[in-house]
Amino acid sequence: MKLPENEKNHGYPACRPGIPFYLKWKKPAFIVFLLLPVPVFFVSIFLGTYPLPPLDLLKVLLSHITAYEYSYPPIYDTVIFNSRFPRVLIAMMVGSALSISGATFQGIFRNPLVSPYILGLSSGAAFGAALSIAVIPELPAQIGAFIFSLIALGFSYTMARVGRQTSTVALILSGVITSSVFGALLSIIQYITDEKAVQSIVYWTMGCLHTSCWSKFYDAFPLILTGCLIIYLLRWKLNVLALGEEEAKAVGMNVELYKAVFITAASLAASAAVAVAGIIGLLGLIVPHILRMIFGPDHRKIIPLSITFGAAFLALVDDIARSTFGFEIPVGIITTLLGAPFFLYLLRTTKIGGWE
Amino acid sequence: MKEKNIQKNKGISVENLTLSYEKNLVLNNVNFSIKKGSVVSLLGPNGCGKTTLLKIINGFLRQNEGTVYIDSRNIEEIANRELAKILGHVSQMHKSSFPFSVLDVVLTGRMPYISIFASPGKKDIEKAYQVLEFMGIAHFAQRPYTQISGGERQMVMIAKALAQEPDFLLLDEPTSFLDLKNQIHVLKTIINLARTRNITVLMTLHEPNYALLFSDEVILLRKLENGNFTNRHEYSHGASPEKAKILTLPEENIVSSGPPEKVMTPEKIKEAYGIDVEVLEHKGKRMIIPEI
Repeated sequence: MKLPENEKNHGYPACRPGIPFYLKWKKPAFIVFLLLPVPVFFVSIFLGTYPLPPLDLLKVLLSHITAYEYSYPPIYDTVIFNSRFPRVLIAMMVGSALSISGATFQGIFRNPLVSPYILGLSSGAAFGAALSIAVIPELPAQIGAFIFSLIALGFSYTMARVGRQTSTVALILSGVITSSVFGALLSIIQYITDEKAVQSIVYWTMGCLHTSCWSKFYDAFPLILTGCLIIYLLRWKLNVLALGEEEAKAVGMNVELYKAVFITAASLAASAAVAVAGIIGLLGLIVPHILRMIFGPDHRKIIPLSITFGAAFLALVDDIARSTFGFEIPVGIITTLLGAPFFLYLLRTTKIGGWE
Repeated sequence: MKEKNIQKNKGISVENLTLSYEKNLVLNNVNFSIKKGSVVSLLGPNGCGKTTLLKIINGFLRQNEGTVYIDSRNIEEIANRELAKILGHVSQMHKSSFPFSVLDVVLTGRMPYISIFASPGKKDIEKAYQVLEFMGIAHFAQRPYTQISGGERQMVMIAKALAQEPDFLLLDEPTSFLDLKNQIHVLKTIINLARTRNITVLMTLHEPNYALLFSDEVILLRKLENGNFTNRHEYSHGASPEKAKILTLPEENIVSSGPPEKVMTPEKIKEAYGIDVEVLEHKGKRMIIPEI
């Protein structure tokens, strides 16, 4: 592969490897997006339904971190450390999980318009939650949701697998089938159960964070961390896969293996997120898309940014959900209402709607 | 035995290759060998199995019978990753849904050299640039792959295959969808690769004149007529030997192979394509003109 000296530059001195990995203005933007969760976290803990003056909150925090003495009602501690902290952290964790799994599924399916729910994850989770709410109250809703989201995914995946191959179209079709099967099962439960249970099922499916507590955070965190870590480590391989399966095979990639690993990791993270927060729609679509519009499609950038920007994004949306009106709106409703026009805009302005 | 080993020592050698899709026999008893460093064109009508043959050689498809040797190693015994270091493949016109930069596309060719959890490093980026410069397309390394012309895209795909640092390059109709200038440019680049880097090239072509102009050897294939016969393999199990012999297709895919001027004769072209052609000679070059 050694080139003769005279062939080396071809008169293109400007673009030799000194080239900035991100174009000039993109590098600071990249860093800003990476660090975004930090300021968003601090803004978010100041917001909430409990009337806690910002100055007081600052004083409480200071008294905990430094030697500053400040006496305050004990309820403040509960509000800050047992309500707002876990809530903001869960919002961030769920935002990261849904965004990264959206970005991953879009890469695997080579389509920028698929969501983490494409393989029936959300309907499986909704059914699982409904089952535990209405039929088996001993089973916590989040565990039911988690188990059934994985069952739904496994179902889609095995249904799509013919021989040793899982084609993209087969996966998407089996996802559609799985979704409708679990949708029907959910309807059965809603049909036979009492009104109160139906109400809580509906509330659960809307996706909300107001029941956040530390135990939920600790339940989901290891799963989401594992999923994110695997995808983060393999992020460049998504570029190879996103160019097409045949192209990936031609460069020696074990396509089926990588696909299975990516689907498992992305599903694990998304299932855990859905289990604690319910179905938060369109987030896994909006976040990777905004990032691609700014930074381009390279997954080496998109994956880490999905983690951080996804976290910041959902935390901010949740801030809106709990502070703009006098009452709480389920965050899933806001993401969907924000996402739908965005989705429409994308469909209209880009030619990327179809599969290859 | 010893002689045979020498024969298939270097280059690609295909022995008794047979493949059927469902019940259609596509390739029957295909035998040929390609010398290292030569440019070989595969020619034949649509559906004669050119693309299939390429896919078997690079391991996408498994044959029913027969063996493919690359540098005297059976390809079935070479791991995907290893094979990708020896053999590059450029498929027919490729489309991407994501606007990856040209550099990012070429970098994927470094896949066999990058360990599981790693991303391409400085060395890989340097390699990618070397390849892009060799192809004369380094100036659009940062352009989105989706916004360049068809000819440029073909050059990028060849660059990607070259980033694998292969000894062999398989190209599936490298000139399809290109205008005349780009067709010649791409073919000249391919020849240049074989000559300057000793890369062995096997490509499928539709234009017989390009085969005459740009290849050291031509393999002319025909489409198997009785494609819907149950394949040989099944008959040899089920039916009696005599019956199997009768039902076994006498036809083989290869009409002829060898130097272009020997293969591309009106008789053989008629045999492969079923049309009449004239062969003209002009300034030492041959030209094929169909009779209309």
